[in-house]
Amino acid sequence: MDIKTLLELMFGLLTVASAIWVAFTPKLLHAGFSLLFTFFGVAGLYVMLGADFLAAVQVLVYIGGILVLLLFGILLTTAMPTAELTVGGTRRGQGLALGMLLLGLLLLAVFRAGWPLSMNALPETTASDIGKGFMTTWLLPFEVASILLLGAMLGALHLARRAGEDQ
Amino acid sequence: MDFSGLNVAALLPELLVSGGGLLVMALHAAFRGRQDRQLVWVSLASVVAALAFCLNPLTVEPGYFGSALSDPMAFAGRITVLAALVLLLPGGVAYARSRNLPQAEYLSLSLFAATGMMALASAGDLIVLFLAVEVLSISLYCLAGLMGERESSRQAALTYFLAGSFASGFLLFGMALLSGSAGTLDIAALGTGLARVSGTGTQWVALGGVVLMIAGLLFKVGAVPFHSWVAEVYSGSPTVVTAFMSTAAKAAAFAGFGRVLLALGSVSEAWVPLVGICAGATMILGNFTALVQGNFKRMLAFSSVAHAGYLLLGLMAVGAAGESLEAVIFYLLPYVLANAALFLVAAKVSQAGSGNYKLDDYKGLARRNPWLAGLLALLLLGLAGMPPLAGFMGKFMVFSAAVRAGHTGLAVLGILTSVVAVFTYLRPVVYAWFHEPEESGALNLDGGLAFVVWVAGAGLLLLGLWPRLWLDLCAGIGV
Repeated sequence: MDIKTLLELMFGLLTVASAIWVAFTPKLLHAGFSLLFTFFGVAGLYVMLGADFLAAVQVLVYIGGILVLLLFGILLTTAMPTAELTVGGTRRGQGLALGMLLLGLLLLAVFRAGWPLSMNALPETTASDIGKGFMTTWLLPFEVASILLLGAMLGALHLARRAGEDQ
Repeated sequence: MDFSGLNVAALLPELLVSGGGLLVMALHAAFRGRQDRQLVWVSLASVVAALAFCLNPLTVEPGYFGSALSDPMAFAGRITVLAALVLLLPGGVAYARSRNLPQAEYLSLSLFAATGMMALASAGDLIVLFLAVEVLSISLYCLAGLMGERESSRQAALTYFLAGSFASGFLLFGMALLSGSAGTLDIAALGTGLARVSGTGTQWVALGGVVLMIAGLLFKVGAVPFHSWVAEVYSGSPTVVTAFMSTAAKAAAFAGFGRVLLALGSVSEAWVPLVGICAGATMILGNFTALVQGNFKRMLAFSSVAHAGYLLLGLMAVGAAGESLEAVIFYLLPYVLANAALFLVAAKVSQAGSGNYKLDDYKGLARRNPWLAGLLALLLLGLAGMPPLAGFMGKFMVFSAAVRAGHTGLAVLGILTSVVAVFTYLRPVVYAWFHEPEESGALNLDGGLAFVVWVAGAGLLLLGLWPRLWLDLCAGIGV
């Protein structure tokens, strides 16, 4: 087994194990910290697949931004850090059925697919191509995303303000 | 770099509407909220300008390197969304003003949501499709939460957010598998991409993608088995927001849904049975649940589930060769007009009566305001699909498209459930005309609501009598 396969296995294992912990721990704070390892494992997998830019974004945005915000949110909310989540509950059967259905569908796809390999060589770096794409072919998604963020910000600001003091 | 494929003009309607939203925000800040009464006119001006530019020949060419299309579906979707805005914005602002809720935020978020809806109706690739779904969803979550003053409204916003995020996950996962196996993000090219991998192992990945993506879309349009959020969200949200969700957002979602299924026509055997079962279940469950509701708003919520079933039936016909989206395109506009007006009427009648949307509020409405009772009957019968109103033509086109595509059983089921729907819609009409009023005194409409009701009623009648007018306009604009 060469070093690349070993690394891939390691990152994969890290991702799956920490994701299972996120789903099954009753402690909210533990779930938040465990998510850190999930995101990191996914970033590692991106690197192994030659998606260097995506891996950097994964670390910067998901670990550096979203996760830190999430943990701040948990820690700064009174009673939240020690809150115990109900894992399972009344809808366990439904969730299990849906999850199994989904798992079956994905396993079918994963094992039946031949996963043909591209004959093209991997690009050295992907960042410049992605950058060019954003300014040409994918200009519209780039612009729509800005409306998305603006709308979300406007709504979030207002909802937060109403929950606190008025104006 | 080559910018000849840019053609910004193709996106002028969306740009005008989102620009209107930005202008409202800027003016609100510049005048420190003192001129908020005028902002509704700014918003309406941008909507009317966008309506005018939809007819502009410059928008006929696809723009943004194929990301924004200009076919009949895109045109009809844009017009439908803009029409809903014209009907709903004045009512929404009046509602916000009377309850001291933020008018500027309501207008901006509505215009941003409409931008997302229009982009969804004209999306040429999967990335724009997903982002557009998110723009409209996130704006609507915020609207549901911030327009409410009651606990149920916050609850509705949270439920909508959770259900919607769940659906987005399915949608995105499905898109990833689908585009990965087809080797393209271009919606129109999905069919040829999938045809290339059919027979190889990759088709199983594509199948997973199709199933997940359809599940996400069924969730978004509120079809069985993913309908459980509809009743709570629609009845809990403020009525002006519910009206927007159940009309414009649903029309846009069906436009995007239709475009994806049209592209997947070459692999229709993979999804037609699935969508067929969901369509049948949605028609049955939506109509029968609507029948037993004693609450007008919940009745409209379940009736919109039922209509999602009829629209799914129309989309299934698309899978068969030679069927266009014409039936779905036609179905949407009268549905949106009637529903938008009915929700606003419901708010008015409820406010003057029990305050919680009881059907009993409609008793004796004809004595208190015969015009309103007459138009209420017109709108409800339009939704029920009575000739000569437009709802009849819509249902007729959907059912005949389904029969031509070989789904006769489902078409018969659709006709049978439509009979159930007639009973549902006739109940308020019978209450209004043949019951003694519980409260006396005239129930007068203000100018804005009267405008909405008359426009919707006239639209239903016109579209029902001359359906070709609208269809030819759609077919002529989009080439």
